[in-house]
Amino acid sequence: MHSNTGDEQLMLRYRQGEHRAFEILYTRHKGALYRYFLRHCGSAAAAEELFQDVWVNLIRSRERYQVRAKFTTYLYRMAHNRLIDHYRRHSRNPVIALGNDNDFVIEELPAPDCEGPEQRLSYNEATDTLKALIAALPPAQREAFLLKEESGLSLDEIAEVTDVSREAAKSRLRYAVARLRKGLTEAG
Amino acid sequence: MSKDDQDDRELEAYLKGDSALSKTYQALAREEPSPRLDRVILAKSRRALRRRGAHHPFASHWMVPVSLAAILLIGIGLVSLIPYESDVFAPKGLSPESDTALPEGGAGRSADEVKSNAEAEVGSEGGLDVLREEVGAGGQAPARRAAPAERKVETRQRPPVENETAQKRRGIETGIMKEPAPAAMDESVDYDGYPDQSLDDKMRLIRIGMSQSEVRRLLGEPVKQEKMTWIYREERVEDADAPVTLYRIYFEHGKVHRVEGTPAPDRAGPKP
Repeated sequence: MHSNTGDEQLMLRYRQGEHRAFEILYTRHKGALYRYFLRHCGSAAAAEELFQDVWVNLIRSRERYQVRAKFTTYLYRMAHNRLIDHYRRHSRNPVIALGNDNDFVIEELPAPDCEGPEQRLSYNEATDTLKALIAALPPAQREAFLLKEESGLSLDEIAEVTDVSREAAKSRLRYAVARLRKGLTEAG
Repeated sequence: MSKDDQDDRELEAYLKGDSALSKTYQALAREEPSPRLDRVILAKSRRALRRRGAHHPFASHWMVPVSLAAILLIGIGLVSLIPYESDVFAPKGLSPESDTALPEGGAGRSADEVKSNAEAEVGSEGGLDVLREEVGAGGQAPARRAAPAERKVETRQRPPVENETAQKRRGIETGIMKEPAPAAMDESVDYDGYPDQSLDDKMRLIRIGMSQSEVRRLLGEPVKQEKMTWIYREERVEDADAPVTLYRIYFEHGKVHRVEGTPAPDRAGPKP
């Protein structure tokens, strides 16, 4: 099995019982997926929990896998759903609407504990400025930015993963980029 | 140039991947999950594949047809055994066809032919008396030989057992074997080789009873109890002027294991 085999082919082989295919997939995507969760919630423990849940979900659902899109889209769709569930469970605001529109949900969700002012202030070093700025982004914008940076998804794929229109995804990413650039400029 | 236009240009540059923002982000620490978590997840994957191996789609796909084929084979095997078992266990002599269908070392011997042969044997050796002498262990044979035309042969399963007093009164002892008689016919036994169909007719019974040396040899032969396959038949021999004598013949693996003879009280004829 070549290391440059496509993710989709690897997933199909894993569905057929090749554990080596899963190892390659896991090695390829584990870092980006872990950071996707870590940047979202800021807690390594929470990130590991969510990270493990996604991979376990992928293991369980492997026999239903079909190549309908990029594997990365498939993987981050599961990650997005798990993140939504995490936000719902740990939300302090009980009046948050939990409708089918995930866009609305994630826009209205409060920032996680790690995003409190005290924690933001702890990012004083220059190398952590960007992390702090990312943590300060609204969740939907942060997710769009992380999906682009960590998984390399296109606008269309970000829209698919987050279940919004392409324009909505583009808008989120545009605002995220603008805020981060402004913050970096001000910090510099 | 409006702010929105500037944001759009920045976004286009960012999406192309040559923005300072992307370079700054990629310079951040590249955190990875812990090695312990790696091991946990990979182990979960291996276990899942092992469980899948136990329920492999190929196996589940073929499980139903293979099971059906096995059931079909077993069914055919059982059906093919039914006629043979019927021949073995069906009470002979109860149906008119049974006499004419009895083979002598084969098939096709008629009841009349059997009867005439038996008469010849009885006439030459006094077969029934000898048999009675054997099974009576030296006792007085209660039945007397009569003309063949006056005899009736009745075969049935497990008639009432006569008590010991009645047996002694009639001078016939039972239990010439050391082993106790089986409680009932075991239809599940291995009846390979059993029965010699000719035993169903009366004269064949007499011939067996007359073979004293063979019976003694069989009696002396050690038999492993756990391998015993008991099958017995009961034959009634009734003379016109003699009490009915019940002969119980025990087979083991198709061979005569012992013969017991008792007067049947319910059908007993005139006392001597």
